[in-house]
Amino acid sequence: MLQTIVSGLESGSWFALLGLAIVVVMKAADVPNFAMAEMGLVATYVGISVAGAGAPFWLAVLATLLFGIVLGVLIDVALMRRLSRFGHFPLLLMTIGLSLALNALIGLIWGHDPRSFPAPWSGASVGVGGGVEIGVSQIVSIVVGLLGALAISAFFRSSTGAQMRAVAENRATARLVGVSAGRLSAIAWGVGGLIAAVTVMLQAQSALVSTLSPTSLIIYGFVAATMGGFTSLIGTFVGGLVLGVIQQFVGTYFSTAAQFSVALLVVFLVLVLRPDGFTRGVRLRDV
Amino acid sequence: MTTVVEFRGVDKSFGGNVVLEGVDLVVEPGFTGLIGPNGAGKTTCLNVVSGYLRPDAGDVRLRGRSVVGTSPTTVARLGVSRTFQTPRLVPNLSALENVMVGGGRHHRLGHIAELFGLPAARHDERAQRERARDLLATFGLGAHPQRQASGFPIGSQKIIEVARALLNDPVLLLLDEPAAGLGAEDVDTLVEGLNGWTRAHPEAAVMIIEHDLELITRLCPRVAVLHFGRIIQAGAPKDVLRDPVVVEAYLGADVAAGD
Amino acid sequence: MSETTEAVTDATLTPSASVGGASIAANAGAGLDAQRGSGLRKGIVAVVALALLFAVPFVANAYLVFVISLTMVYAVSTLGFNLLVGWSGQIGLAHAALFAIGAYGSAIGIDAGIPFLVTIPLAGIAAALLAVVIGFPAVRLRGFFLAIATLALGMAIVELITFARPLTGGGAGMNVTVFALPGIKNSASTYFVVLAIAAIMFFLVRRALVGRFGRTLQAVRDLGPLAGSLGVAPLRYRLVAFGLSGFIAAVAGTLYAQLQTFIFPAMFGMNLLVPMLVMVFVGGAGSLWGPLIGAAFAVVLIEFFQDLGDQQAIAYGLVLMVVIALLPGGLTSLFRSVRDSRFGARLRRGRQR
Repeated sequence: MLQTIVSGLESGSWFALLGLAIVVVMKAADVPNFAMAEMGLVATYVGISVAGAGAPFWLAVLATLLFGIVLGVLIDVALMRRLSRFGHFPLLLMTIGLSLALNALIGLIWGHDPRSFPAPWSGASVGVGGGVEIGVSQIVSIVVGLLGALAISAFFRSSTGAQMRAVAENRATARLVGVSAGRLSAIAWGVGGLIAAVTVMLQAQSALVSTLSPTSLIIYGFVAATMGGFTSLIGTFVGGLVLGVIQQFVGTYFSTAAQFSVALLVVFLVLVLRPDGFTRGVRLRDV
Repeated sequence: MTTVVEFRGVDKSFGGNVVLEGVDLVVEPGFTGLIGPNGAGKTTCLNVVSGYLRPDAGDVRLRGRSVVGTSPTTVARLGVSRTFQTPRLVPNLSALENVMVGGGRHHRLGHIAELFGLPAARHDERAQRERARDLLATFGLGAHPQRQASGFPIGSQKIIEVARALLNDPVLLLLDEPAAGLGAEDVDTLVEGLNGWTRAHPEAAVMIIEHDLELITRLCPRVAVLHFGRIIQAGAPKDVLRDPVVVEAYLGADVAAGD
Repeated sequence: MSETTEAVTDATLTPSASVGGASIAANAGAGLDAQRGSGLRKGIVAVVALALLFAVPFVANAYLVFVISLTMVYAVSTLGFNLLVGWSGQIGLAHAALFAIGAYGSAIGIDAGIPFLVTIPLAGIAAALLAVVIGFPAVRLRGFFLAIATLALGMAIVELITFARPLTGGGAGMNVTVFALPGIKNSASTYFVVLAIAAIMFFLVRRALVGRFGRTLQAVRDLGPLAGSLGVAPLRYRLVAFGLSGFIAAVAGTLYAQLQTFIFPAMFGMNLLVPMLVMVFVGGAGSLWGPLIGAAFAVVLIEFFQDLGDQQAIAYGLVLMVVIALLPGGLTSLFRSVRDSRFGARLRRGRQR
């Protein structure tokens, strides 16, 4: 039982973080980024290659993070900006096209085999009595997830974060007050790319990732973001964790085949019962 | 009963903000102006009577029937039409088609007739088209009814919106700053058209929110002044506009804005 | 309630804050009055096009016949998708699933002894009802919430089809008994059936969209909750749009099953939804040519990239991105800019003489 909960919290942390990345970009660009998981995967594969070339672990981690940021900013500047005036549909399609292209690119460069990100603690586990063992990598995921959420929360309390919230509230007025929407947009995408990279990296240090992973991960990320109504950080984070735990329980006690459908059902129910999600706590926009 | 709208003790707050407080207002047929400094709650009044907002307290009656809690669609079907500060037209439909979008009050045929173009629907369509064409002509826009709405200057778009509102044969017409951004000629056409329409529909009331006090004086025999959510004065324009309380409210607002 | 409050204050800020609409709306129902005005000319063009299409199986090889059939099927599907996304402004992503309902519904119906032609409206109605059920909670949602909710439900429906193995053959798929017109060779027979149904659907949909329904739908799209002030019930219209698009998707699905002769759930996932999105985007939102153009574009693309094997996906993704970057308004925006340009004006003046 404890094992199930811990595993659920672990995967839930991934979902929560990705959800937060989606929310951050949503605020700046007003689009749900379907390519978010792929972005994280590319960055992680870069890190894996760096590590594979012999570099120390922490350097590989750094490479992943940097690549995530750069990729995010690049996508914003080169692709997303020019589409913002044309409404939501082109933006959405662009992110879908991007996810396809990135996924295929990854397949071309790195192939489709599952990989992992070897960490110093890989394989180690901690006994918590009663014969139950918890993987250290699981603990890492959970802790990093929590730290990440706190960091993002703190960021949004900072002046840059406040500006981003202002832009989210009302673009026209924010611009009048001298807020550079372009700069903020780049920052948001950079942060989004960073978080996505962290997410997939966490996934890779504990389980296996491949070109097939992003497809489900992005859906779970969206579920988490939906639980937070695409505005609340706490809602997204908690939502992601709850989803992860539910998933694990369904998989362990019911059937793994049903896991995905359960996530779909959850998101639908949330949208029906609480159309604005669970929006308490730090809100990026007053609904 | 001739009174078209009656506000009784209407309160409305958003969060901690009191927007309307104890609003009592009787609107008779003909023109009634609603003026006041920005943020006084004028648009909120329109929103309340058109069903978009529910007052926290008090009652709003349309021809004696309470419309509190009634959906905007039902209120419109009861005969309330409105225009908006920024015209909300369908950009790629023609002016004529945009006007034809109005008139929901007369939609008695169901979707089946609409969808399959049954003879009843086609007959309806032709009748509406004629009326829409006439309305556009009344307001000086009869020349290019087929032109896309987005191809009209914004002043004309506002007039198209007024025509659309009139297709509904409303008993209450709510105009939110209809003259803002209009040139003098357009304003004259608007006034003429409205006057003509009210003459043909003597039982209908028109509530106009405006900042153009000259227009208000020209058009409205009665005007009410809203200030911080309260009606501070009501009566004939020439009296109200000289009332020291009103002057102070406006001047006070001007001074504050000037800071 | 919050939706209406937000909308009324929004009204003072942005003129057209519709969700998917900005680019698509610019092309939707473009100058319907103009379309109707030249009714006779349009009618002649349509008849000529139909005649040409009718002749195809007599002159073309089986492969071409198949490709054109497929294009027509996709065109019908896009017609429905367009109605939902372009005309009612709702990005509802359950379309591929409703398409699947049509395919499976028809295939199962045929096996149960129902004549194929009868399964078409039956599957259509089933899908329409399902779409309304999906739409019920969905129409209250704004923008992306709607997209995600419908996406989730759509995926769930396909999962359900996979679970219902005894009925649907599960993940392995099922055979489709092909309906043959008496005395005509199979591939040609399917072609004619597809042609006939497609023509009927186009005719019906155009008729529906050209009158008050289409107008009101667009008003609901562009005015949102403010459409209520026109005496229109926005949620009801949005629901009807859902139902109609579901019906049309399913009809296309029944034809698809006939073409493919073997269907399995994976066919109806993102592999189908993404091309559908491309088709509706590229085609823009005209009531007649848009879906046809979009479908042709996508089919050409798919066939063109067939030979690339593994590089397919990246090519597809890249093309999608390029098209969006260059023509955010879809292909019809290209036509429109030509039309609005001096060259176009000169053409028109010449024609009017």
